Amino acid sequence: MNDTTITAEKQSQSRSLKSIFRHIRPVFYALFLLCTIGIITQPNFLTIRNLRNIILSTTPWAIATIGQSLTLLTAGIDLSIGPVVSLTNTVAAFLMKDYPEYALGISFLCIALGLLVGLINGLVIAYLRLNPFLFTLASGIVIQGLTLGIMYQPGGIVTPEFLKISRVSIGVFPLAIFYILVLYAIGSFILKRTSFGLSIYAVGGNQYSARLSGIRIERVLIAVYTISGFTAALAGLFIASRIGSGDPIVGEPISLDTLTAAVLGGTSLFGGIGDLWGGLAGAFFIGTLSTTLNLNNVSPFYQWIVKGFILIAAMAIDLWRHAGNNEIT
Amino acid sequence: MGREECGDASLSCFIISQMKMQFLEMRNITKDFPGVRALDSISISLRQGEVHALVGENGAGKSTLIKILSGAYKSDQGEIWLDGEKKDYDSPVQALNLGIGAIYQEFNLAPNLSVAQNVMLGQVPNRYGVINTKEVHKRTEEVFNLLGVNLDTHGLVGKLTVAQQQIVEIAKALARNLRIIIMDEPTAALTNIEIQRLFEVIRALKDQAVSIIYISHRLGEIFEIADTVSVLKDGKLVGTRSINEVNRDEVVLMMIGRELKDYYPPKDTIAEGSVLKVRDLSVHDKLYSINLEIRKGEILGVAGLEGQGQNELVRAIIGEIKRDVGEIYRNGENAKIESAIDAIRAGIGYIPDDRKQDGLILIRSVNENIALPSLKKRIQNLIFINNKKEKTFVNELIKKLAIIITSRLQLVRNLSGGNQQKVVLAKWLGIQPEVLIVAEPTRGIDVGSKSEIHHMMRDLTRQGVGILMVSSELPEILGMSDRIIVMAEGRIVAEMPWQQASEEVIMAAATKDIISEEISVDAFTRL
Repeated sequence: MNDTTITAEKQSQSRSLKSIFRHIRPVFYALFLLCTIGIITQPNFLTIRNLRNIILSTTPWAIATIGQSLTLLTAGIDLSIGPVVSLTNTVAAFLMKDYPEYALGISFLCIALGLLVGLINGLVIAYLRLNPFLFTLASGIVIQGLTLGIMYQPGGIVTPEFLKISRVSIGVFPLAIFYILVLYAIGSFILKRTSFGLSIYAVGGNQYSARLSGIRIERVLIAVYTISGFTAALAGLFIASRIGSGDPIVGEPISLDTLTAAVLGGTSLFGGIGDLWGGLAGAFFIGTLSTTLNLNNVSPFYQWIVKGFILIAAMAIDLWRHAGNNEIT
Repeated sequence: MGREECGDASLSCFIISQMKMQFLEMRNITKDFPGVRALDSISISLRQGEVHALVGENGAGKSTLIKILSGAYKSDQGEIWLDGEKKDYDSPVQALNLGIGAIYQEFNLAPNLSVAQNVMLGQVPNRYGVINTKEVHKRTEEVFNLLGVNLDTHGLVGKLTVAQQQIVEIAKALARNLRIIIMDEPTAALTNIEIQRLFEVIRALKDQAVSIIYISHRLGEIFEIADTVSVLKDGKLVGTRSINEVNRDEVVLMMIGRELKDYYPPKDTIAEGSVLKVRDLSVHDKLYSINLEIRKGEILGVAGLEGQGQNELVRAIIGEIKRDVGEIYRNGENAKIESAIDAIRAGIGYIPDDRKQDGLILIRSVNENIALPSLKKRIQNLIFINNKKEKTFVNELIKKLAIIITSRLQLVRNLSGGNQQKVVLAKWLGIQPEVLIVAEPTRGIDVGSKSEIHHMMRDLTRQGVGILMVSSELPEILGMSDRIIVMAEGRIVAEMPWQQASEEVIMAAATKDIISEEISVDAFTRL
């Protein structure tokens, strides 16, 4: 073997390594880096208590991010997620206080509420063609108002059985981690292995072209927003179970946090590119960050600033990644 | 650099000073992309006032070469010499400062700004940031005078025709005192009249010593306007010839490395029966009682000047434009087509004229694009995608159409125009259509792919498919159609078998009902 072949081989090796690194999304590095920082700065970081805490506080974010990712994939957005979380959380605690015997029915009612809001969002966006950003912002404001009308202050209480939803563990693992895995597995399967999933990508990639290809884009949009309402409702119920009561503004940061999580995870704001698992990593990034900042006693308003910068960084990475893809022609 | 000598931005002074200047040389330009050598030691030189055509099949390296020249890419090896000096630059802004600019197929205009604002964009005359509006219009007028065009500088660019926008792009290039203008497929969206107008502008530019690198797939144009032609193939320069030294066949031979003998496939199918019938179709202000019939095994060509309702006709047939009256019959039965979904169900495939906007989902894979319209019928079990079925289905079509890709998961965005168009065709062959409605099937693609697509269309008619083909290229209409209808102002004004058709007959029919003078005069003065 002469020198040139050796260098050629070396080159091809480094190139393939490079391409592997290119394929791992930045969010996973970020999560890794964050955990490292957490471990270094906080001896408590690796305790089971802290890890459980991270998982439990991330769960509602992670669940709601499924819906946000799907709407983003269709080149839409859902800003009513936060208010739906507040609404379902509030309604659950409000009703369970007086009717503890109907806890199961109340849970289903809350899910139905989420579905209903999503359905309305979807119908309006699909048929009246209103801008998803503005419409879901507006419907979110209405829902927030309704929620405050039901209960102006934190209050209500959930049943002891309902509390178990978030508190049961299998060994050291909180059951919540299984909720997340199951929901993400189902979601990913739908997205990757059904024609509905492919239609989501197609609609987000080029709506008119998808239509000409025989995709019923209205149905796709309606389904996606309805799913988003559904996952937001699940997130609201989980929070109710976790804090044991209702809080009419508990969901306030969730619309934007799910957006940040999804974009951080590689889902394009312009639609058609991305998947769910990246969003999950994004959600855990935000969850871990919040917990770590809390452990380090960083004040909440600094946390807002940090989150804002992360969203900006996520959008920049989004643009940069797609510009990068253009190069390989 | 000339401009300084003149003191102010007086164009004529600048241009005279330029006449003395030397020319551009690209020496041994090499560019590698992962896995491919896009350009292999290309050397091309350019004289002042020369129109230098660059031709080659898609993927030959033309785009890469002009991207290097215009600063969008940096070459791995090689040098660019301008006026006897070696220039190193790697951004479009630096290239513009050297006087090199490109006009791409997709215009970079702001539709909500006026013509003058667009022309002067990036170099708006101002004092302390306050724009001198009068000066903006004055300088724009100056440029228009040089070009010999008469266009309202106050009008909004968004309201202009494509040809007029093209003029604005050229004016913008001229206002920047460019001395080398790269034009990438400038005529792809123009009508014949507009093309002639563009050529006049190019000749005017030549007189002002501006050099032009002209990229086009239409060889006819190159013989009309270029002084020199360079042929690229697989990233290598096949040769540079003076246009007087070569003929069309020789250029084609250089481009594809073989002779393209039968440019169009033989018309050897027998038309019979009726697969699709359009009865009394009207669309408000666009189409007036259209009646037509597509027979099994034939290609029905729809000719006419651009914008005479051809586009509306095909979209009305597949239900994407609402019909005021009129029915679509399939095999003698009213097909009740109200949307593209109905059309697909009725066995009608539609290949739109704009593959990037309407035909494809560029950011998704070849696999997904091809599978999309066939999911329900051929790929899914219940609601689940059957991966195995999908793979065989897609691979079969890729093979059948000889689509060149690295993997079926490759993004469509990264394919050449010819391969993209083949993906569109594959997608619609997948539904096994009985009727195919095709608009501008070979717009902006290389001669090799063009010929392959033509042969594929003829093959389909041999299998009994009826094809309706809208095309603004008369040679394509004549070469492919078994029967031709001519449209003007939303009506069918003539119908003829191919044996009776010629460019003259079609053009005469296309312009008969409209006072022909009015069109041309109008089109010219408005520019």
